[in-house]
Amino acid sequence: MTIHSMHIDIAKLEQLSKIRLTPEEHIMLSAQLPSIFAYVAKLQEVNTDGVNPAAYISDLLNVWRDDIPQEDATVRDAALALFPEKKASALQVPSVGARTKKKSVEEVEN
Amino acid sequence: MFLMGKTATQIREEIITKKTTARAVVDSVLADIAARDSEYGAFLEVFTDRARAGADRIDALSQKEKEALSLCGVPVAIKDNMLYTGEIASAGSRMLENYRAPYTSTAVARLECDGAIIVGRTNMDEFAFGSSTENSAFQVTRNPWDLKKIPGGTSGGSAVAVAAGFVPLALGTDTGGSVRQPAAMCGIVGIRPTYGRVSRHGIVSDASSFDQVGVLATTVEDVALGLSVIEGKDVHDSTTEDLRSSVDREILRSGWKLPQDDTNSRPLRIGVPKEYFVEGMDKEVRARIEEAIFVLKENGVEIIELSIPATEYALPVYYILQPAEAASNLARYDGMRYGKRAEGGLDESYIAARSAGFGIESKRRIMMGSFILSAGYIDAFYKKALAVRKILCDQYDNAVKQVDVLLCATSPFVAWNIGEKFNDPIAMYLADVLTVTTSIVGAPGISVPCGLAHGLPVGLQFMGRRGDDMGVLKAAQLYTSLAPFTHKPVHGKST
Repeated sequence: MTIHSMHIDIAKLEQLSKIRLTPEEHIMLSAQLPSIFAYVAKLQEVNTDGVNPAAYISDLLNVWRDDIPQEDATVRDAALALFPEKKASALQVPSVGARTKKKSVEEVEN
Repeated sequence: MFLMGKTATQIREEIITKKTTARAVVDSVLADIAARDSEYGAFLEVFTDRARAGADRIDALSQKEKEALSLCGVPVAIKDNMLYTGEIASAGSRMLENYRAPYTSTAVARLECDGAIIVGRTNMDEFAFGSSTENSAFQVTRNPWDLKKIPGGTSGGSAVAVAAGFVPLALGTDTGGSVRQPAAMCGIVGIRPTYGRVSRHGIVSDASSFDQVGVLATTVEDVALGLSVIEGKDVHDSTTEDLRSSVDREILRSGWKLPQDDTNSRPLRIGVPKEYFVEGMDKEVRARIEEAIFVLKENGVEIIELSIPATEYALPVYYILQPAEAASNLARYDGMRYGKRAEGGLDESYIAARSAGFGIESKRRIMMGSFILSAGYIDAFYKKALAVRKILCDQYDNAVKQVDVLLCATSPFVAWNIGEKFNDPIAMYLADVLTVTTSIVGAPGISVPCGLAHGLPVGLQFMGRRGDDMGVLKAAQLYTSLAPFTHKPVHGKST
């Protein structure tokens, strides 16, 4: 049982969540998360031996559909229009691991 | 206030019988919102031109065509997490404040196909995280019964749009109680259907195994009407199914009978799970629920006390599984394809976009989810919660099969002061204690008003078997016909 030795490393959670907290948020969540997890850890009381976990509550199984592509140019164009940065009709993203600063959306718009 | 408390059913009737036009209805709704909504903050945006054009199209139809439309000319508000082509759907978040829907969600498309006029999008807690609508990145929404109080959440804007008399019908979404709670706190009717009855296609995801689209209105009949329009299998959402009993429009149209009349004269059996009279429940709320039970009993309903022992674990199960699923769903907001693109290399850009785009409750839930799903804790939290979910499902099924429906309060308390629980997440989560069970087991639940406590509305909840939405609608219809809710919100009247 790992709950008793529960260690909540906020910096690690920021990293996993790809979120950087402000100092105020950091202080707040450092105080709140342990009490939230202590509350939900109440489930440890329940004996679940032999219980099949229910990831899903519906009785539906293997829902099939015909493998026919449904292309809608209007939806595609609307989705493309949302891209903050693009080249032709392709999404442009910062290069992985690149250290060069890319222009922000605001700078592009201005 | 043009609508003068008219229901969707009545507005449709007046348009079909040419007492009024769809355009006249829409114009007055738009004028009413413009004149009064600054007081409540229910709407984030009103689709003025589009609503007028839609109304004109309805008015141009032949008589026969109009009669075929279940919601002919009925003005409807939609929650800000429902896609409607070309309009912003921001889910109450800065992350999506400029996101324009590339297509229309199935629920909204079905409303429009049946003649409804979509008048605007309503305020909500960011990504539907919360119980008070205070987590919206954009504005505060106020309860028409007392402007200092929260309207309930997360579909608070939709509830207020109905309760304040702007529209007769609104859509919300219910993950852990987000339709039923604001309905209760604003003194209206709200249903969370069986999971799978309504398509989630085009709805901004919160926690996918819980999310359902629900309907809010002032009467049970209108709620059933709205649900009958949006329900049904959808090729775009493989979790939808045509459930055995659809929401029956014929029963709706022929009027409601006492259950004794239509279940072979067997009295309606209602189960009251004893665990639902939770510790810390407001005494006045409890008294209203007991009075409701008395009224039902007096009228021949058989009340059976029963037990769902795992009820005390429902909230912990929910607050493990919901953040886990939501954190996974919210991983898509990285500023790449839409939303806020931030500068820097790929990783730095993600972090900057997410840190700036999410509000504090979203950050809290994402970090909860990250912890729950992390290697050291996934077994102790996530997998454990899935197993307890199964236990709860079995106990719930076992309880509800002994009766027709279950009954309890929708919320242990009435609407609280704006700001009161904002910085206390556990206190806020406890507001969901009576609504999460149906969400966890995928069953239908409806909230109807049952009097006032401390001058504010109390919600009575009926919960049913999976697929038996008609059961909860019938019970709700019976109760509201025996004990009509005649109170009106102080601030809901037009000047």
